[in-house]
Amino acid sequence: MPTTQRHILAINDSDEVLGVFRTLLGEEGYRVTTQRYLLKDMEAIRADPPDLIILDYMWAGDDAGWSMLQMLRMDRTTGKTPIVLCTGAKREIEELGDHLTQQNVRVVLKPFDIDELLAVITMALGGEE
Amino acid sequence: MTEGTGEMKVRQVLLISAEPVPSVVARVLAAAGFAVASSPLAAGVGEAARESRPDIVVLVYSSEQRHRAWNVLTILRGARALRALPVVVVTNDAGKTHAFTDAFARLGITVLIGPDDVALVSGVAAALEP
Repeated sequence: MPTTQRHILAINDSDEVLGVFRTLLGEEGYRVTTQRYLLKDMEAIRADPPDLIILDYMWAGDDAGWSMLQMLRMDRTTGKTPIVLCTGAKREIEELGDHLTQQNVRVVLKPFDIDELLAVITMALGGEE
Repeated sequence: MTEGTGEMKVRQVLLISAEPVPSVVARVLAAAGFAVASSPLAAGVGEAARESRPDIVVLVYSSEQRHRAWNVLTILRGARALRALPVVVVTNDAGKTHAFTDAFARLGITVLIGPDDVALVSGVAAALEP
């Protein structure tokens, strides 16, 4: 029985980093779409809802990343979608403790280890089933 | 060391920096016997790393360039073809970068905070050791 191809949306401010996600996750069999987060194109996201979102959040004070996270959580289409937050805000994320987990947001520190990122994605998607 | 010839292999360094070329870091490494190719701290570093096939990447950034530097590191560690490439980070951004020292070490990334010439050369040489 064919397996449904899972759709991952990667949101970042760098085309080159988005290319990394596209290549890496495409090789793992995921369908990958990308968006520059300054666009905040929720219409496009609603039109093609992802199974998981990888969102870049660079540092504390990164208003674009934080506001995108809030928009995703407040939208009916993506409110429950697993999110993997790729971030360099190590200390700030630690202070948030369980809050992000309760929001179904997992954290991977940037720069990430490929195997760690893939494992987190697998767990996040497995939690849906 | 190339067997049979007694010649020392010249190690290739890809220097990624926002500084104008030639930079102080490039001069110090070249004087120490490294072959240095430079790439700006901008888009295209992944392609530069794949095409130049360096033995090591040295990434130089200041605290103002941290965001771009982290994107470079994400590219170097997120691409399967580049993930094993040794990386040395040279920066004055002690606070934020120091918090990542352990995480970087697990990723094969060496951190040098404000190194002098000797520390720079020895840090790069050490990172090249298997």
